[in-house]
Amino acid sequence: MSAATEIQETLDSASMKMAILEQIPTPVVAMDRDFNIIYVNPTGCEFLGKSRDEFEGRKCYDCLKTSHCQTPECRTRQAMESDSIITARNEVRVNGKVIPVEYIAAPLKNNNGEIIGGLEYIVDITERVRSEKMLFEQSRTINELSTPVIKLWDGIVMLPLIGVIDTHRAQQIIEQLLGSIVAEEARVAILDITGVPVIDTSVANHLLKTVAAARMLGAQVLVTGVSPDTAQTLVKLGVDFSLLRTCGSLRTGIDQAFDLLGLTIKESRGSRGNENPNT
Amino acid sequence: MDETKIPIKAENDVVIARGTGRRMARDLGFGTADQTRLATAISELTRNVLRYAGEGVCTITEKSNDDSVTINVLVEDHGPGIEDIDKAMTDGFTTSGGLGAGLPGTKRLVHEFNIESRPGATRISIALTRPKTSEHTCT
Amino acid sequence: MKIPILKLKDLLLTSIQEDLTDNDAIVFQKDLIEKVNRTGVKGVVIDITAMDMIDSFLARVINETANMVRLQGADVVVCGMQPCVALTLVEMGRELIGVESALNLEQGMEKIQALVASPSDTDSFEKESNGRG
Repeated sequence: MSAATEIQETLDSASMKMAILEQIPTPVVAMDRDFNIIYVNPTGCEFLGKSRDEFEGRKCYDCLKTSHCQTPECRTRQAMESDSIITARNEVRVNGKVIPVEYIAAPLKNNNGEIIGGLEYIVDITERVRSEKMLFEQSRTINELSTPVIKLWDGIVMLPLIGVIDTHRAQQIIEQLLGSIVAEEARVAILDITGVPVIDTSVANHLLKTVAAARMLGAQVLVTGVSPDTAQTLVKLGVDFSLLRTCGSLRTGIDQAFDLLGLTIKESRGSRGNENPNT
Repeated sequence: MDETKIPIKAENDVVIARGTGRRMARDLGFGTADQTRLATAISELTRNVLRYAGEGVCTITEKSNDDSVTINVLVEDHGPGIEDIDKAMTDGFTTSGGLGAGLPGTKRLVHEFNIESRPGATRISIALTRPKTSEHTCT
Repeated sequence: MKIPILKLKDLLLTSIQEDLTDNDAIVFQKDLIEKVNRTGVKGVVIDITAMDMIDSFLARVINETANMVRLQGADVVVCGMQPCVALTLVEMGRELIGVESALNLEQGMEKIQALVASPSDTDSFEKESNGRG
């Protein structure tokens, strides 16, 4: 092969590689160790809403402007300093819109393997974030649906609480409970917290608010499933027990609920439901 | 962008402002709980205007994007202003003592709460946001 | 706007709307106290079914009114609070405290009659936590 052909082939291969690079459908940015931009691919230019010339000689952080920029959070900085590839989530502000992204930062090396800068490629994760939000909302709905309010008796409703009680779930609980108090004209509501793993100040406050709200609708609230540990926690938290009526077991709670309504459970004498053909 | 301006000069205007807020929230698809929260917050803020400044303006606007709908209420007056905003934003009482301007309580009802105040100008802005429900239906 | 106060046997029944002005509230409280005094009734029912919003001012009016009536020696039951209103009140931290409540007028009447019939207690809270049925 002649020298000219060799050179030509090398050039063709290089320009092919360049063409491939230029066609990568996700933004790619390369910079030197001082964050001066060396290269932005066409998709990157489009994404950031700037032409290639506008990137010439500019600092990466002036063009991208994210919360990581110029802080130790900048993954490209971390990649250059630690010689490793790092992925992180971030948000990019372009054309007045905020786009959630994932960016992968890697050190840029010369032929001698020395780090001469950084390389980033950016993935727009708007759809992914949207799906995550939807999943989160759905799990909340599942949470709510899986603990429906149960009508225990005329005038008595019960809501077993399961899982973590955050502010959003707490709001849901009050709405659920109040709705059922109205629907069933309940005068007693039992809130069973056996299934709540963590009782802290925040959960205790949610409980107090729930009790106060139910009370204003004329219903007494009994909190059942208070374990000895929980009882200790509540006392330590300084909960005012004139505002919160609690029981250890559900059984005691149901007993008290009937009591409040002036009802008693009596054992019935006689055949206990068996039909005696001889009587 | 939908905007409604309500002058606050007398007690009846408080009623109008919260009624308007409730209606707009309802028309924008907010649930009854949120409608009540907004009406109550507007009532608190506009009553304060009458009590401390004598008169003011309540402006209700709607903003929405792809993902959510927001209703924003701006209550402004040219009264003496709030001397100590930090103190005003601290819970003094939890009973219906009615003491203070009730700002911390109002803040708890809404998603966004911003307050600027100096002698001669007070601006309190609140907002409620709800997500737009997904178009996808699963069968 | 004058708030009507009805006498029903040995009870007083009154209904508050939400568009109560400062003045209306003062007039109402005065009227109610005078009537309790004059008639010597032992029970008052305050119906708030029509209120689709209660802010801190209105919460204070209701609380004060209940206290005034109790100081006059009569029992008080507030009935008909809407769920969304109850929710908003607890979120604001302005829940009614120490006021006997009932879901609706029917339950309100039952409750006031039960309260009036039993020996009077100065602390209505005690009654509740002692589980009066």
